[in-house]
Amino acid sequence: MSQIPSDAALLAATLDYLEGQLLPTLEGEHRFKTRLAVNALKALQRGQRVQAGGDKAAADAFSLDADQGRSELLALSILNQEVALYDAGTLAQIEQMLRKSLAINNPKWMNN
Amino acid sequence: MTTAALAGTVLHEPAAPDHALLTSALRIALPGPVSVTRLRRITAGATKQTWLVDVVEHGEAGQLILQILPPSKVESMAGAAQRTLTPEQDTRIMQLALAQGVPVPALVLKLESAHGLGHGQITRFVAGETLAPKILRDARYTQARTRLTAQCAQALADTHRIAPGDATFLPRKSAVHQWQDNRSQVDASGVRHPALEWGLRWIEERLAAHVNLRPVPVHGDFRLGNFIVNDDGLAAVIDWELAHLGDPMQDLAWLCLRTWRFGGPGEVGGFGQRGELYAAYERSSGSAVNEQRVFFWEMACQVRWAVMCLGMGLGAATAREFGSTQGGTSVNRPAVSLEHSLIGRRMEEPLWDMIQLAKTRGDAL
Repeated sequence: MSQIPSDAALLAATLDYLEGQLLPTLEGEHRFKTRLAVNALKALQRGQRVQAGGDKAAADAFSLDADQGRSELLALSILNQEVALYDAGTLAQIEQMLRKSLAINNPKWMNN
Repeated sequence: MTTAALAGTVLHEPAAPDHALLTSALRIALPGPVSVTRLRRITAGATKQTWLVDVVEHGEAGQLILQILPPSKVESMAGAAQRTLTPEQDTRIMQLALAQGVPVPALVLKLESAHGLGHGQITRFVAGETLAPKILRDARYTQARTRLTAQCAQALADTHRIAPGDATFLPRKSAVHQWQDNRSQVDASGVRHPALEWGLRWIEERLAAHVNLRPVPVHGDFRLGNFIVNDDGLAAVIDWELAHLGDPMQDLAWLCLRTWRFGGPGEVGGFGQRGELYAAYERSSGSAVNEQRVFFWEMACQVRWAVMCLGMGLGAATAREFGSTQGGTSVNRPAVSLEHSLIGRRMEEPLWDMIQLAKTRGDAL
């Protein structure tokens, strides 16, 4: 399962906004609490880099997990017309993969 | 946010347009005395910059909208596969639409190199709301919501009535062209996503039915967010930069995507019903809605939006990669757009809808 952009890139973009754009416009309590939020996110970022085994730019492109290889194989079999478009098993696998991503990114989307 | 933004774009906070140059340009365009009193950037569009300009004209306060594309963007558009209109094309299609009765902001001045402000346009400010959640939920727009569906149908019918021969400057984007563009973007991304591949193949297997259609001017991004709505309903249609020569059914389909309902209950933009839209469009245009083609475009538009999400997500990831640090010091690190990063994470939404649509219709279409 791929996440685009990766968790690291999303976290970095959030930090860019909070620290680079929002913080300079704030004063008082909100500035203080936003600074705390930035610090908390930076701590998470550091922890993530440690888990990834270093600050590798390549790891930022996609967050790889066990599903990635299976997902790419299925994509290729669809591209190469090795499976029928409306094959029930294929549709079920696609739906399951989408379900996993949406469970992280926007679970409510599956409700309607 | 405009959906015209495609892969690889990052936002940088621009400097405000030169006050003196702007004043000079306005003094040429407008009869009588005019002065600029205030300039505020009002959107963070990925390509165009939009500024609200407070002016005093003939001693009376007024407001204008300045939209400019920096020279660097114009140059990059000339070199790349053109997916969005140039500012000049943008202005021309808006003028053609206005002539057909489509509500668009009145043009004050088309900006060219000689004005020194970048390419773009200055239009009259149209009062109203563009934020979809407010339009869909605020009590103030209750009456407007009841009118919007028919007004949208009328605006689309009028847009589609523009003579194609007058709009040959628009890019031709048939179903085949769009499929090729999506296919090449996905291939270039290196991403192999099962749902995307499924959607691209679904479209490819149905392209033959879309080869010989007579193209007409279509808006290309007709949805809430690109409407200015006041108490009476649709006050203006804006953001024409995805306009092209294509299938008019695409505009109807795009307006019905769940993405553009912003949580509203109506199938049409969150505010209306499909039956009303189709009936009003047929009355206004004198042409029948081809529901089979609308369905095709709903599927194709889901894929299109997913590819756009992919492009923005990869753009954010690329910016981060190029912005890596050396020795703890940031090296030429471009700003990463939070908005684009989050849109990247939305790629699965249209793909989910696509699969649900396909399941409800089966493989008959």
